[in-house]
Amino acid sequence: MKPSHVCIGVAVLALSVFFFAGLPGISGEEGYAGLSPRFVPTLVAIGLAVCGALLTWQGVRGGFRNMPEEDAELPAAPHNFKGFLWVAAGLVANMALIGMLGFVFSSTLMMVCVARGYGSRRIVRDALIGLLLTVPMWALFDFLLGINLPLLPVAGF
Amino acid sequence: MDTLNQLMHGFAVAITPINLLWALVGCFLGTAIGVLPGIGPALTVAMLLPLTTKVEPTAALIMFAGIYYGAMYGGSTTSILMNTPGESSTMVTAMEGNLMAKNGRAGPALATAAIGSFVAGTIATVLLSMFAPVAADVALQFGPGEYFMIMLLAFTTVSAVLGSSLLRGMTALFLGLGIGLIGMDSLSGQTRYSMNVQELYDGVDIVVVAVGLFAVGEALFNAFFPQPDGSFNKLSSVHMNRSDWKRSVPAWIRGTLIGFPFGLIPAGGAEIPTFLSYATEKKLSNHKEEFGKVGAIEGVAGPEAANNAAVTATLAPLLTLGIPTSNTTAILLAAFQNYNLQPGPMLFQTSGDLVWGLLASLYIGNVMLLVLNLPAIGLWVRMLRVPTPLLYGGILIFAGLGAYGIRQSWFDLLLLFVIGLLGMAMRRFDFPTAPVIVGLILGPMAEKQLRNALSIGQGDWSLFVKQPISATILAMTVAVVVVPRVLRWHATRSTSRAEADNAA
Repeated sequence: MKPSHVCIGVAVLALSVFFFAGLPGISGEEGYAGLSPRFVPTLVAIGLAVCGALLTWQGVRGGFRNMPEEDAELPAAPHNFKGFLWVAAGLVANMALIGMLGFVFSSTLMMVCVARGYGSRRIVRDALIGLLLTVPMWALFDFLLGINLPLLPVAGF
Repeated sequence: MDTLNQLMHGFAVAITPINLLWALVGCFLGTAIGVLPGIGPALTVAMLLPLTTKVEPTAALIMFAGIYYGAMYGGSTTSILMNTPGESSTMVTAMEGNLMAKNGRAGPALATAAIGSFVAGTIATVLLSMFAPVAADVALQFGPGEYFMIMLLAFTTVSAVLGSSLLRGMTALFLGLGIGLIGMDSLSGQTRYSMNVQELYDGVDIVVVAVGLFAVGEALFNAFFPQPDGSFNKLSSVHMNRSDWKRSVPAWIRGTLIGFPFGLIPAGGAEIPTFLSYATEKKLSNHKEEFGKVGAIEGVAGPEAANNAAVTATLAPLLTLGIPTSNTTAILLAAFQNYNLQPGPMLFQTSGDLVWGLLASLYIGNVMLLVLNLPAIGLWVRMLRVPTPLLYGGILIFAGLGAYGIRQSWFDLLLLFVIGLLGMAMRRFDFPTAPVIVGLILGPMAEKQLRNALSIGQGDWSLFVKQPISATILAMTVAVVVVPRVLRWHATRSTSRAEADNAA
């Protein structure tokens, strides 16, 4: 039994429940084809249910089949939860702040967080490189592509 | 001769200074991202999709194609100089090429990879420009039923052939099909699974899914499980001696012949032909003792050629049928759709300039890449020294921009993050990602074709087996599940057996 693999299987099963649950909301009108808009969703829900059940079963019976060797040893390999959190934090911060700070500054902040997650401690260098990437990209979008990315929305720019 | 005329016309389109410039930009970018670990051509093209709003279609597609095969050239540099293959199709190159580099022969390994890619790319382009119009003519007779069957074939090959497990491939496929259901149904106009979130009414954008799965997933994964730094091999002169040439040339040709058909038949990627080519070269070589020890040059030349030939050939199903068989071709299809162009047999008639210009640019691009990769090799080697924190920080900036640039909504960044987590889990548990992308992009198309086919046939399902073409494709679908499994089993068996021989 491999708990992580069982979890994956159960998650796929849960997804299939989501697709089953949405079925009643879709029209079952068949039209000329004898196929309603509900047909493919039903197929997907069943497919996910079968795959989820098989994955769960494999998980209970010692883990997924045909896993590459390196991945099989991964749990034992060193992992760095803190690094993961920093990268995730950078992504979430970018999402939350981009409307307020604009692409240039919120992406630079994300750059600093991500670099930290990968072990960098040189905040100033990381921020400078971030600006070096974001400012030209902003200019390219703004002037060449005509896609207006606000520079600093919170201050009205 | 008609084909030749059209190709000449294509050259006239491709050789205009502006299109040459786009081709050069594409080849340059492609090589760069091929060299850098962690980003691939699918991701790069996905991030550049906003360009489609401003750049004219021929130029943009010429650049995207340059990125696609440029990445294949660049990828071999990384796998030879560091022992970290970027993707499964360069795994074989990493085996022999890295051994050669360790023994001070990095230069000849890089040279045979680059020249081999050039030879294979050029031959494959010739074959492509000869066969694509013929295939397009045949495809003109296809109706919705045939198209549905071809899509079924693509689903099957992508999920059953690629990756190590049928079950995990199918799971990924249904996941992609499920994501594809979200949003407005194209035939009845009602929304499905949008959970009353307005941002989901239009469906989930392919760019967000691709960038999330590849870039964000990879960045999260590598932060969680730090990869050991790859060891660096020293670069030596890229000069090949007489015996290198003598051993490389036949291997290039054989690799091309093995690779090209695999790209055509939607067998999902270049992994199988590279392994097959490797096994062939090993069997035929007069220098068997070098394989696995000091590195045999045929073992680099053959698989590299096979890889490039297969990649070029994947453009055939995309252009003639409108069916993508790999991640990158799926994104290329999205690029076509941004221009309201539907790749397929009609494309050769409605947008002849574009198709032939694109094909002609493949010839030019291969020459550019040869020049970029041999004399300028030092530049790419320096790129390998970009520190990891900056590399991933930069990748995520571009990923965020790619998603945010679509409609300036934070919601797309949320989706990007969630799909990134999914991508990390898929990477960790060895689920293939290509079926998700192909399912997402082909799913809605397949549903439409299926309903159209059944409308025409008034709900009679037997039409799929009664019509000869669709019945043939159905038979191929079955074969495609069975045959590669046998082939791969055979290839890995002979590889491992030969390894055992070497060890003895």
